[in-house]
Amino acid sequence: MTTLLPPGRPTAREPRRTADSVEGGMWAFLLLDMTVFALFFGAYAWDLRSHRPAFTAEAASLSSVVGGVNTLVLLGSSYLVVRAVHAHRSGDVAGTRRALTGVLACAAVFVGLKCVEYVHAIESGHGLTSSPFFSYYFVLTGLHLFHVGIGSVLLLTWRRSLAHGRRPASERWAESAGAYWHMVDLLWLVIFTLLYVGSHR
Amino acid sequence: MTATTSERATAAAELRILAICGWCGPATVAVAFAGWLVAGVLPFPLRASSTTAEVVRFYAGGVHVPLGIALASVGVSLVIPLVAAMSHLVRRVDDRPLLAQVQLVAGATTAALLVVPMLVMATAGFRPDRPADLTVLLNDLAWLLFLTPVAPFVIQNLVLATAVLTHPSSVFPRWVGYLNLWVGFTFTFDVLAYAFHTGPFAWHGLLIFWLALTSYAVWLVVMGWHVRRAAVTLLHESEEDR
Amino acid sequence: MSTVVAPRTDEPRRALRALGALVALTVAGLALTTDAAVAAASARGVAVVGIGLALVKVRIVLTEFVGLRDLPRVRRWFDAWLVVVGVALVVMVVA
Repeated sequence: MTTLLPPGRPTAREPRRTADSVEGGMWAFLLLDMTVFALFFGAYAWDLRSHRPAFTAEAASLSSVVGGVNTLVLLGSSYLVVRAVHAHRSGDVAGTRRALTGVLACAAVFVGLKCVEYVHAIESGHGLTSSPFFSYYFVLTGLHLFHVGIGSVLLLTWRRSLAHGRRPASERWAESAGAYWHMVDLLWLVIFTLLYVGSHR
Repeated sequence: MTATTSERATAAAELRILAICGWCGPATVAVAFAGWLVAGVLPFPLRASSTTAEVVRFYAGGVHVPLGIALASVGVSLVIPLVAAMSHLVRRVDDRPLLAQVQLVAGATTAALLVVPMLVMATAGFRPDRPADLTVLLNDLAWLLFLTPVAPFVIQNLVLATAVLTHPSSVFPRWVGYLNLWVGFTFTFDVLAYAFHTGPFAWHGLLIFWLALTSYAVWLVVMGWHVRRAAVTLLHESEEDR
Repeated sequence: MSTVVAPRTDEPRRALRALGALVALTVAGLALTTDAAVAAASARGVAVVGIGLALVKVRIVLTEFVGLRDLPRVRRWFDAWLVVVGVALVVMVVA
């Protein structure tokens, strides 16, 4: 079992990866979570078939620039999580905290842009039940936003554990929280494609 | 420390009760499904978009409807011994009594919220000659009560996951903790049923009724199986101590 | 018991390269939404290419960011998910 070195101590240890750092149960959880999302994607694609003209017309009212920027923000945050996990493994507390601050800032930007988008959509007269496309838009992005929230709480807990005088999160914990965040990222990649790219006219 | 023969006998009896509580998990699935099949709630439930005539016809369909619903109300109540047994097993090894207590309260609330909609359905079928709108109202009430008050169950899942994943000698294997997290997630979006009459997010939809039914059944069987297994293991241990 | 795999110091650099590829693929995906792309292919063609790009990106996130390239047994499950979801989505969009 590997543990994080005490803060402040210079480390000679190379960061290493243990084959069982994230448990099988966690992988299964991520896969099942993604499968539930896949059911949502399938339902969307199914309804896209029957309402294609309406879907494409309404998808055109979404700003693919905002969606694209949010994609880049989440990809950047995922990269920073890799940095955070790497720093955590090498016992670099300051580096881990810095990277996690960056991830949380990205999460805040993502949520902020999402809110701007929601306000815009609602002001244009769209709502949860206004049309099939916007039902999917609000449900898919809302459920994803809920995951962004859970992921942020996990990362915040990880970051707080690195404060002075606290017991740092275990490597397994840090890697599991990181893997969860990557899942949040990759689910967005599919949602972005379905709503913003794939439905474009 | 030596236990007297009568103390050992009491402990063994207690473990046999624990095993029965475990069996109540799969029994909940079996009895509730049987009841719903008899009543005609399964395989295809009334839809949120069903017409008034369809709803009235369902409840006036015959005596098999109230009988099946009565059987289902017994079935969903069988979760109560399972909930108590899980708290008992958490408390056995865990020195954090609140986890077991929150699990117990949340589980009991969930059980109540499963029994009540069955009673409302039975009420809907009680007077087929009443004004049709009232039957539709009772039907809506029953289905929304049945599927949307998910928070107590999600709390129960989170507490069980916490107990399993943060205690090194939990009776339940760690994957059961992750399973609870996933089952909890599959219930979180059931509140969407308030907003939709058609499509996958309506109460009869794939992502509401069918997903919740599946994950709840899996949860009942897995948790029941592990309660039973823990009882058997503890019984063997106490026999070897003799 | 934990099996320690070879130490990795190149991880952040590899991840940065992966990020570069992901950004490039995202820009390519956005280019699909231009009228020129839709004119060149068709709406369905654009959707299929978009889904393909998304799944490639997802796989890069899984192997490079999540680190599944070191865990072939876990990776197989996620690859199976990608294949099933990818085929299902493409079939539904095209059919």
